Amino acid sequence: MISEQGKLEDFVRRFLSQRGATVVSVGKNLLEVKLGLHLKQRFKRENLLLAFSEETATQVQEAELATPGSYLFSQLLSLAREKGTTCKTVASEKMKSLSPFLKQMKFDNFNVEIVDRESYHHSFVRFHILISYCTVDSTHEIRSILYDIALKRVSPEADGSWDRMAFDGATEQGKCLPSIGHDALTAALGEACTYLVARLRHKVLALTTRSNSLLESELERLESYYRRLIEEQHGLTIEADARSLESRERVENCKLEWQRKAATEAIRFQPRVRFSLIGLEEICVPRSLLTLRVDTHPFTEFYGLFDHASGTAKGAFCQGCNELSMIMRLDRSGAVMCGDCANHPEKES
Amino acid sequence: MSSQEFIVGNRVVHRLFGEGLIVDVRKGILHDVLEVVFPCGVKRIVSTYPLVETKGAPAKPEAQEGSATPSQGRGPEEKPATLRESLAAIAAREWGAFEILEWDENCTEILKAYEEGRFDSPQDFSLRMEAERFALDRGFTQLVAFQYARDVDRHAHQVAVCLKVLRELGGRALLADEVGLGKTIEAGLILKEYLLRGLVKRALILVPVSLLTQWREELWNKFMLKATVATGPDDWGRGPLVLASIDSAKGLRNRERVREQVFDILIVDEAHRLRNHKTVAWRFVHGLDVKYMLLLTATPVQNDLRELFNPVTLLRPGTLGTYRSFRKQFMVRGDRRLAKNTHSLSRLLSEVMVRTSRSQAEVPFTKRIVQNVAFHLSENERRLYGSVSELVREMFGHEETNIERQWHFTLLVLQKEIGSSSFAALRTLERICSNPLYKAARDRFTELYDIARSIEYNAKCEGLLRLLEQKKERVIVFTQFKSTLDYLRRILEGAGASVSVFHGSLSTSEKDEAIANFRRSAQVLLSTEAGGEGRNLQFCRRVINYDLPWNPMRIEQRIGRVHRLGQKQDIHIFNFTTEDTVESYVLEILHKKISMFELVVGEMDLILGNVDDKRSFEEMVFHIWATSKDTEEVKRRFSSFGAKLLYAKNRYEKVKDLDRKIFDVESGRSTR
Repeated sequence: MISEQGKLEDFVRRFLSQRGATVVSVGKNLLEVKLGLHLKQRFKRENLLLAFSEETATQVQEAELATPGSYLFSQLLSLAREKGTTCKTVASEKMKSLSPFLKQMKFDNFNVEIVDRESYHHSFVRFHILISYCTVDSTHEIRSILYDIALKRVSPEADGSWDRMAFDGATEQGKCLPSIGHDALTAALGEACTYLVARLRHKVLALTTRSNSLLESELERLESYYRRLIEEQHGLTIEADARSLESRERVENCKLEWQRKAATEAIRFQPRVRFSLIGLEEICVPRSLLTLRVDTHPFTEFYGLFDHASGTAKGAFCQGCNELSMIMRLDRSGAVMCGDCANHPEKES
Repeated sequence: MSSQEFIVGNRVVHRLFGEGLIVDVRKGILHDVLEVVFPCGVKRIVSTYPLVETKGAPAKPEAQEGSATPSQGRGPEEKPATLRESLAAIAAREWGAFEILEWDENCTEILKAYEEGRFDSPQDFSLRMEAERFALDRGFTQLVAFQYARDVDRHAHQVAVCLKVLRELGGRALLADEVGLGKTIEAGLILKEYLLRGLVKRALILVPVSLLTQWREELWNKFMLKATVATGPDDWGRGPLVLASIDSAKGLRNRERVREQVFDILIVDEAHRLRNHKTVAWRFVHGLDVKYMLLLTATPVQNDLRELFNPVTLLRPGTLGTYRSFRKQFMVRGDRRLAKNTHSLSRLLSEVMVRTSRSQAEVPFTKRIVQNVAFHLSENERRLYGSVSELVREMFGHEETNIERQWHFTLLVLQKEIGSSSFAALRTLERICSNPLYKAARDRFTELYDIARSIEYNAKCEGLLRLLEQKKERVIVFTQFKSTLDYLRRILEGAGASVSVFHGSLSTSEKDEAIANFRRSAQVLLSTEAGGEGRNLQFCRRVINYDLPWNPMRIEQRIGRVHRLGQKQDIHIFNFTTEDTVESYVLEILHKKISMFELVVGEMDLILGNVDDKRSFEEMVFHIWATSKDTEEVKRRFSSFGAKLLYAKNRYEKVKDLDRKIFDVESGRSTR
């Protein structure tokens, strides 16, 4: 297993090389970097000696520490942030033939034939969202949500299933593919965030519970303090009516001060969750929408999806719930259904 | 929420079942479920796949045409909800509270870039995302602020203090580290941390007037934070960071204006000034409603334990109970300076106070080795110095007139310059001679000018050359005046020394280059008072005070450039002095009387705070010099001034001891 230090070192090596530097490992957790023209101007020097552990930085005095939190790392970070907020990648076609589709699908009680195919580029947008959870402190995490533009929903397709795909990058072909419009993009972002909101329910609950309990204890402290203060200063309980106007005023002032302090505490412990979009990538995958026909009566036509980039069948659309499924069954009415819908015709979605 | 909104009564077309009428819409998280009456019967359909479209849409998955309109199905008069509004609605449903969720509107730039087809390469994209993940902070487990701080060394005790304040004390704390451990840096780091995490939008920093400039410079130089210095009623709303003197903020003119503003954090330096709850300052701070509050002081208790109770009450009322209960529980009857139940007190204090002692900090504090190098002025130099001093005394010897008041500043500068070098004084004398304002004494000044012009060489400079010859190590030579600096440069370069110069007229990049050159190869860095504020010069360990400022804080700042927290070697300070000059007397009282050079950074300020005189140190020095009739009187008065300083130092030492007694219990506990 690669350590966090090792991952960081590997990242810095790739990052600086990509920006035109020559990077050589000169020891454990130690990289020597010969900067290219652009980076020379940026760093105002020609070479860097980077240490990836405090121990190395102590041993090699000329080396600069490049761990998160160090000044140098912050420079690298701001350099990385200058680029790379959006990108478009296009997967290349690995399998032209549709023959794997029928082999990979399971049609339980019928056979099918492909009667038509329509090739297109299936678009996904992946939103990278930085989520900050704040109360008296704050934590951050990044969540990536893949949204299926074609099917208009957050995609369950995991990154792992795309491992077999080759992406051409922002090829000429990619540039020619029109991007989705403003409205579709906004809607997609809205849905991605909505999906995220639902997924974070438990985290947010924990956050609010924690901040409420902290607030409660602060408010208790304040209450006890002000009650005692009023008692001591005026020999009164907070609820009792003061005899003289002056005492009453003082008690009222104390109460007001208490309210003010309590309101400040409430602001201090207020939980907040902030979504910031930090990256957006469009991923285009060559696919075919297949028109399939049951080869016996009633010759029902239905639809299937084949992915040319990975050479895999993505499934057929259930006529009951419209979800893609790899196992299909023909029911008595002649509709082609997924296993769930065939077994439970009352299923809603 | 679906991208399309379906309404009961609308008609839709299904690619298999034909046209149908929506009779029910059930809202789901990811998509709606529609109940639609088709000719073939009632079907339940999810609203996502394009098989379901509003009237007449083609039945093919949208690939790149992508023109789904979220407003379809809405009435034409209905305005589409913004993303923020939609999310608030979802948060209200899912989390039971809509106000928790915030949407960062800065993302519009990314959406715009995408829509305009401004794509970066996938490599850049993936590297950037990787960098973001490395930079990700997971709670207050690490300080993000260090990434954005310049020339701030990472000291374990400072990190620990910041994390404790952020994590355990919820941002309301009394920072009471012993002198020299960097409370200002800790406060700066905490402030920066909160700003970076978006927990603070506006900050108010209240400091003594004498520290205003230092704070402004440190905030900028170390944390890249630009603070607005507020003085008048209209200044308090300007900018996210407002810096002011506490006297100005609490003043009648400003008090209400400050209260009207919303500040998330309040930082008060030298917070022992808030020790008395009856003062306007204490009441003013008590009246400010801020989320976070940092009170900085090295000496929380000076005379009375109530001085501890009062700031704690500002931070967290009730932590130490009411004053009556505090007195009963923690104060020894008959001696307000003594504490009882100290363990219990320190446990309560740990909820609101952080104090690191020098022994706990585990930072090596290296020694300052001081050497005063005395010179004899040449005959002409002595004549010039004596004549200038005589003129100054003449002017101050009788009742001040308007003209003399005008001259006050000029004479003060001239007296200082002559203590630096004849070349520094030459320019001022030249200016005076050509100024009609000084017509009355022109002859006297012309005479002085002529003497100054006749001096080609200063005795101190010869001494400097000798010293450099003896010790080849890198050295910083400080002077107050640019003219002296130019003179020294000429002489040193002429003698073949490699010199780097640093002064206020250089641009930032020129200053950087000067420091880099000194680090790389130069033997000498010639620097004026602007000598590298915020710049790390720890690689050098020798300082020469070619001339001596009359303000001890200035001397501290000079030494502080190399004798910082983390300096691993002993440092050598050479003070150049010439007998019977103002500087020699200043050096005498600072070095011999109060051993200033053995003090820790920051202590001098606290000692001066104990001197009962509203005038600045510099003013006091000049007043003694200018109003004494002869050398005997100068000696006597400087000696009495030294005694006053010594008394102030002793008072400070007593306070320091008292604080140690009170807080040692806590220190012991926290180190175990």
